[in-house]
Amino acid sequence: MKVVVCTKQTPSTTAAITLNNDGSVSWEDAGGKPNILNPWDEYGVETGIRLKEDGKASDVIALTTGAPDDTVGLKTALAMGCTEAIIVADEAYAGVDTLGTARIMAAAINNIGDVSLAIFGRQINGDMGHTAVQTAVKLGWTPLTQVTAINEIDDDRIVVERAVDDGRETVEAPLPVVLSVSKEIYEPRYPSFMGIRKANRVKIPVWGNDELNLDDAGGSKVDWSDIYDIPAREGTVQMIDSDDMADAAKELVDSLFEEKVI
Amino acid sequence: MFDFITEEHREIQQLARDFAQRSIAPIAEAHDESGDFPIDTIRQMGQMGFMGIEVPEEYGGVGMDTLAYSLALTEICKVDASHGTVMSVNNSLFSHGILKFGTEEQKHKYVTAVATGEKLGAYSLTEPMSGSDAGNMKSTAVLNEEGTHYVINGRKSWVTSAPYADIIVLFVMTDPQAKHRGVTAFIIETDQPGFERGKKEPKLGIRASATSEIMFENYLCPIENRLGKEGEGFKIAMTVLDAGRIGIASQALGIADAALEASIAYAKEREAFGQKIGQFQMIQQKLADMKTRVEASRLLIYQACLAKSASKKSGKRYSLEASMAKLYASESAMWVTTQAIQIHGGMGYSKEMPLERYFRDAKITEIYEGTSEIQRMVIARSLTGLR
Ligand SMILES: Cc1cc2nc3c(=O)[nH]c(=O)nc-3n(C[C@H](O)[C@H](O)[C@H](O)COP(=O)(O)OP(=O)(O)OC[C@H]3O[C@@H](n4cnc5c(N)ncnc54)[C@H](O)[C@@H]3O)c2cc1C
Repeated sequence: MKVVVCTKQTPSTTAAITLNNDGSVSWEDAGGKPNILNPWDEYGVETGIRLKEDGKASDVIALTTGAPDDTVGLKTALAMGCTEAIIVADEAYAGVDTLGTARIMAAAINNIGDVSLAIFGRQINGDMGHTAVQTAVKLGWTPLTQVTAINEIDDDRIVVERAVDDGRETVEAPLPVVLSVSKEIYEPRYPSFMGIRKANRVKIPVWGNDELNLDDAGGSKVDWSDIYDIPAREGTVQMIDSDDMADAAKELVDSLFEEKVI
Repeated sequence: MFDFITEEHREIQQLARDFAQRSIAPIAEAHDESGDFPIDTIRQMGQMGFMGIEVPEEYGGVGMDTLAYSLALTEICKVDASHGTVMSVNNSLFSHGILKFGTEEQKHKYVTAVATGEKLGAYSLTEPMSGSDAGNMKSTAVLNEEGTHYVINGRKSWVTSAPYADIIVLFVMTDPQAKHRGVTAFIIETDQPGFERGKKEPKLGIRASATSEIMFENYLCPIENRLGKEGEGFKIAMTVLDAGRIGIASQALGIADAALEASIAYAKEREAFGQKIGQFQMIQQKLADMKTRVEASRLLIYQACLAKSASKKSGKRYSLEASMAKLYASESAMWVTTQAIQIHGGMGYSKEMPLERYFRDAKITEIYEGTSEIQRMVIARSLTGLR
C-alpha cells in the first residue's frame, strides 16, 4: 500500500518574524534553523511511518510544493523514516492559495499513482485547515478529518476515530481516502542521525508542470490586501504596597472585580 | 571560517540541540536532585543514534566522524552533563576499543547492540587501589585447563553506567609479574554468573549518571571474548582513552558554554547601584575571559578532532592534541562555572538556577579519563620524549 504524506516547510516556531516596509515578511532564527517541517505535519509523517512499521504501508512518500529548495520539511520527513520525498516546484504555481495547493497535491498524487492514503496534518501556518478536504474533493476521495486514531486498515477499507465536538466517532470508509490527523494520533518521533544521513543521500525529485500537466493551478483567489503588526497592547502595572497581607489581598481582589477580571 | 564543519555536521548538531532542549532540559534538574538514572531519555538517545556516532553503519552506527560526535556531545552537555557521560562512554570508551581491536564477530555482536541503543556499555579500568597508575591493577584472569575460558576474579571501581550496563570492556591482569605488559582486555556480559554490581556511588556532580563497583568471582569469560591479544590490554586502554578525552573535552565545553550563556543573560538584566551589572568593568572582565576560554577550548577540540581523523590515514597517535584539549577545556569549565556563580551572586549559589549544577558537574572533567596532572604528564612527555 502506498501512502503519501503531504507536508509543508514553515518558519521555525522559534523564529523572529519581521514585517518589512514593503509589506513582505521575513524571519530569522537565533538557533540557526529558520525553517522547519510544519509541526502539525509531524503527526502525519509519524502516522505514515507507523503504518509502514506495522507492515501495512510499503511506501511512505513525503510530498510538498514550494520553491525548489524548500526541502527542509521533506528532509526531516525522510530523516524520521519516510521512504521517498517529492517536491513540486514550478514558476507557474507561484502564489497559489489552498485550492491551488489542493489541485497541485491531487495532480501529484495521481502522478505517483496507486496511492491508497493521503495524510495531512491538521493545519498549516495559515491556520485554515482547508487543504486536506480540498485535495480530497479534487481527487474524488473521501475526506476524513480530525482523525485521532486508525483502528483498522486493510487493502480496501479503513476504520478511524474522529474528534467531534462532544467526543469521538468511529467511521469506516473504503480506500482511497484523505486523512487529516490531529495531535492525539501519535507522539511524533525525533529524526535519527542515521535518518539525517539517509536523507542527505536521497535525491529529491523536483516535479513541475511537465509532470503534472495542470491547465491552471488557479493562482490565488485570496488576496492579502494588507498585513500589519498587531498594535502593542497598552498595559500598566499596579503595585499594591501594604504591610498587611490581608489588606493587600483584599485590595487585589477589589481591583480585579473593578476591572471585571473576576 | 571552519570549512571542515559540513552541512551534515550542522544538522547533527541541530538535532542534538533540539533533543537536549526539548527532552532533557525538563528533567535534568529532577534527576540531578534524586540521582535517578534517566533510563527513558538514554534509551531514546540510543534509538536516535547518539550512542554510536562514529560507529560505521554496518555495525548499526551513524558512520560520522569525531567532529560530529563532539558537536553532538557538546550540545547534550550544554543541557545536562550526566546524559553526556553515558553517551561518551558508549561512543568512545566502549565502542572505539572493540572497533579498533576486536574481531569481526565481536564488532557485530557487541558494538551493534550498543550503537543501536539496544544495550548499554561500560568500560572498566580503574580499581580501588589503582586509578592514574592503572598498570598496577590487581584483578586477574587465568585461562582454564581446557583453554576455553578465562576465570576472572577481582574488584573494579568507579565504573560509569555499571549499575545498568549489559556489556563491559574490562581490563585485568593475565600476567601480574609483567605489570602493565600483563594487562589483557575482555568483553564481559553482565548477565552471566560470577558478576556482581556494587551499590551506586553517591557523588558531587553528574549525579544522574550511575557509577558503581563491580565484582568478579570465578566469572567464566569465553576465550572468544578476549579483546586483542594477551598483554595488549594496556595499549588498548590508552588508545581508547585518547579518543575518550576528546569526548570529555567536549563535555567540559558544553558545561562551560551553558554557564557563559546564562551569565551573559544575567549581566544584561540584573541591576545594582542603578546600573546593569554587565556595565561594571569587573563583571565585563569575567565575561571576556570566560568567552575567550570557551572559544579557545572549542578550537583545541577541533584540532584534536582533525588530528584524530588524520590519524585514521597516517596511523599517528593524537595523544598530544587530545590531552591538550581535555586539560584546557576541563580546567576552563571549572573556572568558567566558578565565575558564573560569582556573576549570579546568591542566585548562582541557589538550586533555583542550574549554575551550581554546572559547577558541580564541571569538576569531574578534571578527574576522569586521566586527571589534569596526568594530562600534563602526557603533554610534557610528548614534547620531550623523556619519561
Ligand atoms: C564519576 C566517576 C566516573 C568514573 N568512571 C570511570 C569509568 O567508567 N571507568 C574507569 O575505569 N574509571 C572511571 N573513573 C575513575 C577515574 O578515571 C579515576 O578516578 C581517575 O583516573 C583518577 O584515579 P584515582 O581516583 O585512583 O586517583 P589517583 O590516581 O589516586 O590520584 C590522586 C591524585 O594524585 C595525582 N597523581 C597520580 N599520579 C600522579 C603522577 N604520576 N604525577 C602527578 N600527580 C599524580 C592525581 O592527579 C590526583 O590528583 C571514574 C571516576 C569518577 C569519579
